[in-house]
Amino acid sequence: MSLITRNVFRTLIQGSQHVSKGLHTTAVNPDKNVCFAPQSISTLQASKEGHIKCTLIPGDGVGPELVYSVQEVFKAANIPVDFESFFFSEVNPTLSAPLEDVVNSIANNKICIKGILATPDFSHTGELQTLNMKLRNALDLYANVVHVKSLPNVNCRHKDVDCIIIREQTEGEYSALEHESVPGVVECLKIITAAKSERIAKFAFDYAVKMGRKKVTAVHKANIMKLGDGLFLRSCEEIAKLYPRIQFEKMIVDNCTMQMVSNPNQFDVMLTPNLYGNIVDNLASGLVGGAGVVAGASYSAECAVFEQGARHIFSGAVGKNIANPTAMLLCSANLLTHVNLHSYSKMIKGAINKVLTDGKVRTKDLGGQSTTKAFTNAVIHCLI
Amino acid sequence: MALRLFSKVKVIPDLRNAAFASSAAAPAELSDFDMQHKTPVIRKQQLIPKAHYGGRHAVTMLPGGGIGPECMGYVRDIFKYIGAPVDFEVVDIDPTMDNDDDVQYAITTIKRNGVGLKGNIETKSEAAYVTSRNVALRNELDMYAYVLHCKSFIGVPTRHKDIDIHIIRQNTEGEYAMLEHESVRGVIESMKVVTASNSERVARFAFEFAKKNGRKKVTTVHKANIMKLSDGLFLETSRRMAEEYPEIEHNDMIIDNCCMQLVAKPHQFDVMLMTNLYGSIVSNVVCGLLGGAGLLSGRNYGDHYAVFEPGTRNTGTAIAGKNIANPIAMINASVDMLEHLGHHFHAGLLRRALNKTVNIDRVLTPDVGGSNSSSEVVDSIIGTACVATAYVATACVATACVATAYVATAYVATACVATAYVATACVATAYVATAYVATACVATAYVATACVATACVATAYVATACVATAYVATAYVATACVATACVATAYVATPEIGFTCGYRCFTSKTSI
Repeated sequence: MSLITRNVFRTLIQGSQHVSKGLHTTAVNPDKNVCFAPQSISTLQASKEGHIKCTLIPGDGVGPELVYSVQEVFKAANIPVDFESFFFSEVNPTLSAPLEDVVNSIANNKICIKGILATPDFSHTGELQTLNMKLRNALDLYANVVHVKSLPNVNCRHKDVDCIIIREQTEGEYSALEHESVPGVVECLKIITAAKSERIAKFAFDYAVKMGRKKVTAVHKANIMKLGDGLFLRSCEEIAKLYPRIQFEKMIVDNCTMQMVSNPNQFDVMLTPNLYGNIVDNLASGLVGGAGVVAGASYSAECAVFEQGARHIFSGAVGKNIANPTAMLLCSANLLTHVNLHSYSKMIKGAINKVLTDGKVRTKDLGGQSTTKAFTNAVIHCLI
Repeated sequence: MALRLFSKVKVIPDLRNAAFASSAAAPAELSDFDMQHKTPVIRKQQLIPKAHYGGRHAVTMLPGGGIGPECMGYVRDIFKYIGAPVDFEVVDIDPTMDNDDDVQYAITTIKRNGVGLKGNIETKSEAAYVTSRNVALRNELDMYAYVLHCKSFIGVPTRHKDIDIHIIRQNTEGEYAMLEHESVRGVIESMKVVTASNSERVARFAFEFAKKNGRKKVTTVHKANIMKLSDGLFLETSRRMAEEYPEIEHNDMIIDNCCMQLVAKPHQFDVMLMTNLYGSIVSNVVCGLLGGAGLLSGRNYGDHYAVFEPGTRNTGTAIAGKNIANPIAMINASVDMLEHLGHHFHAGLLRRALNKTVNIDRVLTPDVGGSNSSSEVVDSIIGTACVATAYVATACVATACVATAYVATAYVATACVATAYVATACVATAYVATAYVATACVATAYVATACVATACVATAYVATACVATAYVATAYVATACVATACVATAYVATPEIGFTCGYRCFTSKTSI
């Protein structure tokens, strides 16, 4: 019986092929369509499976709210990305997914979007590495990129800031090597290696080439840490020789922060070791509107993790529906670019720009009274 | 390096762990590109970290002259559609310039990216001190082995069918040593340099290549009867190397005989190993046998770098900009490049699309007997690639392009758009079909869900087509509830709508 059923159905489908052909195709070879008929149902499923899988870590603080906003926008824009969500948290270890699971998921999917993970100020267990650092080390996410760009209609002291800050984030001060040699004396080791310094320098220059930038500024403190930062600086110089068409300059970190707040437009691409990068990232984010509007990304050779540029969990706003989802939405747009979905990426960026330019819907950090939800809805309305 | 390039299995596990902080992040299998960055063996060079970020590779693109720029444009279009994770760094070389700045810059970019895709670079200057840029590139990057895979395309009519030859050519010395001088007026000496070390490298490369690709025979091509010392050394080295590979048959052939044999009986060759100038000649002969300059792609390998280019090194200046240049060679080169980088999914996708376009659909440019323009060929490849993507349906980046086409304003290639409607078409078809069945048979199909409805309707349809008693029997055979529901609904529906089959259902029921 079922056989007859299927055959009747199939005959009819083939009969109605002409209808669909007339509707949609102009230049398609007819025998292409014939092979669709027996598989019509499976093809439908196939295109669903054709979605890209992406690991999602909501994070702590307002992270889940922001991530929800991203999901809403993706749903509205019908973007073919499926999220594989993990609750991952250091401050809530009982509920957190195991590190291995998260690492495997990211290693498989190659892309991840991540909220900020809170890190407690004191270690209760004697563990020196934070969860963030463990994740970075496990995946070898060595390069952090923060693109600081002035947004339309966000009032700040400086106009047209547009610089890219690239930070090494697997060694340096973050090596988690600290010990108390005698009571009252704590030594904290800062590790700089030539291999990793060269790698990040190469990354920075390659990124500059890819983005069509003209200048790379290495930020250091080699006048004091002559060996450690000296090695970093030498490695950068070495790599810079391979890029004769990109200008290379050096700047000491203290001068750099001063220049940054007084004349940020002089910077193009900045190349920093770990801790300086963290400081400069946050400083630069402050210049263009704060943690809520700056997107960042971390890269390893194989994977890319997209997260906010300035890492603040904004715990004061949890549940209040006031956090600004702009940064997270920009992250998601960057993610789409990374996986070649350029048109969707442009769509989201265009919508954000339009909402900001119109200026009717503003979250609290940008001087408005709108909620996270209202902002998200406004973005959704502006999707073209 | 050649050794290491082909013996992926021999990678020591701790070596891997040293490079990747965790095994989770390490790829399951190393691509050739990874191998080259892991094993700096023969010539010590500054080790440059590889340009591989977040799963994407940076690749130097040298469009070169003639048809190069347009072909590169096609490659970039195709890469955009299939979503290949490659970022191109385009370096234009001005052919009219007498200095070598651009070439030096191009070499630097290949050094730091590790991989290049190039068209043919013109050297317009006749001045003696300006070296050929192609040669400079190969020498500077020490790319000592050139591989040309000559395989017949079924769709291209040629005198010989089913040719499958690999030509391996020493790429950096021999006649191309560029050492020429006038010793006395009117007497010019040109030196041909053959070294044992380079001959050994390329011979080992050839045998390893044969072993890896399951080839049976290596033929060394030479002219050792005349150039007893230079070609003699080359021949001697390859004979010595052959002893290390007893499973691979080795023979040698003199170049003039070889050319004759190639055009008469090309099937006797498998892997051919030769010095620089002979390689240049032989590869052009074989390209001619297979359909001309526009089809095959060549690969240059060194210890650290690999450069991919069209197989015959002609610029095609005469046909530039006329939209008739054959893009297949450059696309083939880009497939080789994807393979080398380890993007096997995208390489396979593109290779299948290429195969379908050339061999099945026969969308070809005039130079190989077709009547299509270059852009039509490219559109066909893009269309096929996108169809393939929809079918393969893995959670892969490439699939994105089909999905993107749903929104579909930006992407205008007709074939692509049409393909993107696959799903829509299917839905539409399903709906139309269901509606058709429903109207023709019973009105109940509107109410029931798709599968139940189809089953019920079909049952009813078959039943009514048979005699009334058969219908009852079928109804009893079928699951009680479904059958009852069907009959009941049919009963209700009939008086209102009065379609024939429903009516007959009704009457047969009452008659029993």
